Amino acid sequence: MKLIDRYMSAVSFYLPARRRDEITRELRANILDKLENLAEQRGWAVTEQDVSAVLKELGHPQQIANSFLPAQQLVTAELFPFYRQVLGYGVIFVFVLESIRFGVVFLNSGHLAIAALLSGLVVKALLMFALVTGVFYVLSNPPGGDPLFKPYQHWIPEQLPPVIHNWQRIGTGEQAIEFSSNLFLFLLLHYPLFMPDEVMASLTIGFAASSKPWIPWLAAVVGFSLLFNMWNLRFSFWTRSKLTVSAVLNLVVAILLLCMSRLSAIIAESGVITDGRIVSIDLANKVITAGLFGVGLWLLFQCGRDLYRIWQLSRAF
Amino acid sequence: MEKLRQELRRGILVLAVLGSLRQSHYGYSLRKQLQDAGVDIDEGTLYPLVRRLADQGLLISEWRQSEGRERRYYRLSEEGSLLLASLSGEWQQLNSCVGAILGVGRETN
Repeated sequence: MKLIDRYMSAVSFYLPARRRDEITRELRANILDKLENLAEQRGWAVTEQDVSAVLKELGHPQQIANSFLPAQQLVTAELFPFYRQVLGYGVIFVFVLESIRFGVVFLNSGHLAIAALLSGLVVKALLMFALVTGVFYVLSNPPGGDPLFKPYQHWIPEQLPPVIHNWQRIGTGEQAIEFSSNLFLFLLLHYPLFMPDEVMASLTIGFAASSKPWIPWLAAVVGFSLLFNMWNLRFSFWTRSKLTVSAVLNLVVAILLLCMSRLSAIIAESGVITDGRIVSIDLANKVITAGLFGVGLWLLFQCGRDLYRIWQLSRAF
Repeated sequence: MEKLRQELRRGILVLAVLGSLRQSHYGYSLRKQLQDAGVDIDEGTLYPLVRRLADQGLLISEWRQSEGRERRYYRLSEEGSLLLASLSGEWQQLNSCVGAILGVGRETN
């Protein structure tokens, strides 16, 4: 088999069947013209080395075949910013989904399945990435060539957020963490409402008597925080009014958590016989109260930061 | 730097190819004509470009037998001629504007 035939065979492999003959026929004619011209210039017939050099100069068969086909991109440059934004929201969704699963496992077994949480996050994030990328591939290479979706066609300058400082924009990661942690807490605090009776009866741990009076207050504030998170998802920037709400929420939750961290016990065994997975309720309570104290201090800091930012925005107007 | 150079050349090459195909050419003869005119373009870029222009209806092609071999000849279609006239006007205007800008820059230096 001649070198040129091998090259044509390789090029045709990378071409769609309906265009294979037409393109390779023309490409072969062009290569033969070049070889003929080369032979004329030299005054003798070309060798296999000459053919090899000409083919090498032309390019790899896959590259050449691809250059004859319409350009295809996984995601077009025009759609890429929107693609990145959708991936960000996908991360929030995965966080929320895994937080719910983690919460349900914890309540059912008293077991903090951290490894399962991490592996679940990775697997679901990869799945979400593949799914979103697949959808954007179709949008980037629409059948017939006409765009199926133009995300930036309808916008109104008046609707742009009144943002002066970069920190006013609320990042997707920040939203994901806040929303999923609030949802997790919300589910944890309301588990008697949605758990079936048989599951409730088999729970190995529950809230201690000393912490129960605090739960409705905490549940109410966390519920309000969730609504606030949804508002932030819709309008992802800080304003003075939103910062005021955030400061109040942070302060209230901080006070509640700091008070609860002073309690002797947050959780207690429910009396159900276990297989010994709960190592020590005392140790768990120490970890939880230390955690509540740490989060309480962090929320106090956030409250202070919100107040400082309100002051910054007041100066700007 | 190379990427910027390629971007600058990309649009101009279309104009040069359309301009050359006012007369019939097959792939290799078109490349020779462009080369002789000082427009160097490698075959891996030229042949797919010609096919794309033909697919868009800007060129008419036909297979002919010459010197014992078959060759695909291309020439401008009616639509291609109209586009060439429009692009030529655009090119002349851009060329004079950019030329003036570059000239001013050279004078101030």
